[in-house]
Amino acid sequence: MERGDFLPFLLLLPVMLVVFFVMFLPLVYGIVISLFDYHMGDLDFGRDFVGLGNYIRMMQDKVFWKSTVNTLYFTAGAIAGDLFFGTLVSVWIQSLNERIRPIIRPIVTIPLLVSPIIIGLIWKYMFNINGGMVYWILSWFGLGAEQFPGLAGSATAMLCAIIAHWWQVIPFVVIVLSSGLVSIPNDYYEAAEMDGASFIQKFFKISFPSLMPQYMVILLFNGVDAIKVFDIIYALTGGGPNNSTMSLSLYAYKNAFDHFDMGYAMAISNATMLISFLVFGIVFVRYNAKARKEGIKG
Amino acid sequence: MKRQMKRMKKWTALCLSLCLIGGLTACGGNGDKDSEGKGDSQAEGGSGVELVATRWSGGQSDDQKELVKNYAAATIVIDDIAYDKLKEKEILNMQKNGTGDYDLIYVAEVWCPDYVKNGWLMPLNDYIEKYDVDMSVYNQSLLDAMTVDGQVYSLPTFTQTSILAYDEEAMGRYGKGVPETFDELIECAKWFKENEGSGIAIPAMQGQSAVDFFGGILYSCGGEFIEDGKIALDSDAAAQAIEIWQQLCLYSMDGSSTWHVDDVAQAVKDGNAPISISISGNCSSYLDPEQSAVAETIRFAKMPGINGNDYVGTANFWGWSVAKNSANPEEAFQSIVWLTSEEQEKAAALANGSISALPALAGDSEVLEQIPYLPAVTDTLAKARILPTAGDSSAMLTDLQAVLSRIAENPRGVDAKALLKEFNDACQDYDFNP
Repeated sequence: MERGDFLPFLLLLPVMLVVFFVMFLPLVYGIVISLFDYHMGDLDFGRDFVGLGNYIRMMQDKVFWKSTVNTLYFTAGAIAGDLFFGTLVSVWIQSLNERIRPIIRPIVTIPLLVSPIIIGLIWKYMFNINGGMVYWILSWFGLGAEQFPGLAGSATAMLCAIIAHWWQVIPFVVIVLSSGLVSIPNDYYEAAEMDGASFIQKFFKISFPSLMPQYMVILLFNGVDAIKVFDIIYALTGGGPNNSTMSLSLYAYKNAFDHFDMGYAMAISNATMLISFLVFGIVFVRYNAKARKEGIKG
Repeated sequence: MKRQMKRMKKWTALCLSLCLIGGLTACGGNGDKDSEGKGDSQAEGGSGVELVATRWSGGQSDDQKELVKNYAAATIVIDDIAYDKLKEKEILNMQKNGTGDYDLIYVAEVWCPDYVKNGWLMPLNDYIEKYDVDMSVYNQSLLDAMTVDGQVYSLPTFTQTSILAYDEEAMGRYGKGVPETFDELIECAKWFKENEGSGIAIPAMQGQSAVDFFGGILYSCGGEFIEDGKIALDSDAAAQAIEIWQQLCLYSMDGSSTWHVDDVAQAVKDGNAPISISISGNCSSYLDPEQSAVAETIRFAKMPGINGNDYVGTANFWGWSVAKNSANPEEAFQSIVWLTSEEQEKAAALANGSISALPALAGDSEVLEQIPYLPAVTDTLAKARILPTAGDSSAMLTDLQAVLSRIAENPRGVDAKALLKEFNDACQDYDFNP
């Protein structure tokens, strides 16, 4: 680079400005606001400063802790199902005839195009005890609302939200994993077949290790997305019954727009961000570091 | 070659700089709302002023878009938003510095104190005086709820409350008259639950409608949420109210604990609910044969009384306000007077069965013919009150939603009175002073 040549900086400047204004500034604003007893439209920097008051209040708030547990439960269930069912569907599609595969794959991805709030409403009708599809199917096995209260039961409402989430997100998992499966050389499978490997063995010895980078991407994207869950739960249950599906994002939203308590809502949002980083960020950073190290060695 | 590269770099740098400057200038623009294609309905006004009104979407909004085309003094654009996003969008716009996007704000009575406290609404007294507006046409108690420190902030327009909606054929099978007391209502719900596997449809989902309904029961039992600035849910009346809530949940239709008012309406229209606590705003759809399986047999009645007294329900009502950051507050005020005039309110009532907050329309024969549930609503509204709004009321009522939801989820397995007592104790630190 010649002295006085600012082109590289100019090329980077738009991105840096976007990152600064769209990501960094709102983040700092959110952290600053969480230090104030800020009720929307009414902020006096001198009068309303509470320091860590909102965070201390959060630690003593039972609904916050319940929301945290609910969010982690939802995230664990969502991710587990996404990966398990996503893998099953991807492997199944991969095993199909080459003429059918291009037809099935776009069909499977349709739910990805539907907005989460609409998915919530669709599944609300599916879980309707009076004639919803889920209860119609359960009735074939002599089951009903007593055995599976669905959205009406504290123990089952979150499971319903997780199922709705699976329906929406598994297509994304299928797309990512399919791209990974396609890139695995066929020679590996042929060699394994010659050695008499079973389908399960081929999956666990060849496909699964080769798909690790894809699994990490899915884990990061879907994990962070699941921790922020709002729309589906908002449409399905509104956080009930008895706060059993109250997620951190929904709780922050309710504080912000039902009670105008923006400072507290920001504190909850920051806690959500921190939890998200602790659960997924560290794992991803460590995985990247390990991959880089192995790459250098290789 | 090197020279050419250098020149190309210079040109690229120049182009990028220009793009950046252009982009930043565009970002800094004031977003002139005349240039925005907002909403999908515009009235051709004479003055050239465009007023943007926000309200919830749906059938009533669609009709209003047509009605505002008759307004000659300005162009009114209705920007209708899904109900659950309305408050959020209103707040975000009203707190904008400078000129906001909205001139007319549709305000629920429970939102009004917070909006006023934050200085988002324009006080209307000066305009009322200037234009000599006849305030006697409005329902005084509704107007009072929209008045803070002697200043009127909103003109009441649409009102709704809970009423009984029942299928006449189903009630024929029950064989007794329409319930007139809550004891009779519980007995009726029990009969349907035990004999037909249905029960009463109630909005028992964790949310505002459950609290609205419980508030009506509480007031009817003679109880209060707050007394002398303190929570008052440890009274005998509150204990009676929560017991009634528990009984209704016990004999409610399967799934009621996940139902909002719209889900109750759906159960009625599907013909699944023999009797329901319905919000009057949904009742016009019960009469539409295209939407309702019970259009011919649906009937309405006022809410039953308690302890020999009439029901004291909770009234939900909406008013038109002027945003403080409106660029045209005077024109906006004139338009809300027009929107809440008897002529316009009647047109809206005839178009979609919406119930006006203007008392004069309650006796209008044309309106009565169009809205058969109007007498039930008028009777129920006669003593209706609104939920508390002062201080931490909003937070307390949100917490109460979870308690009511817990009872609704498992009405047989919880001690409702103990739960309410526990809730009352947990709310001692709330400050309910205005």
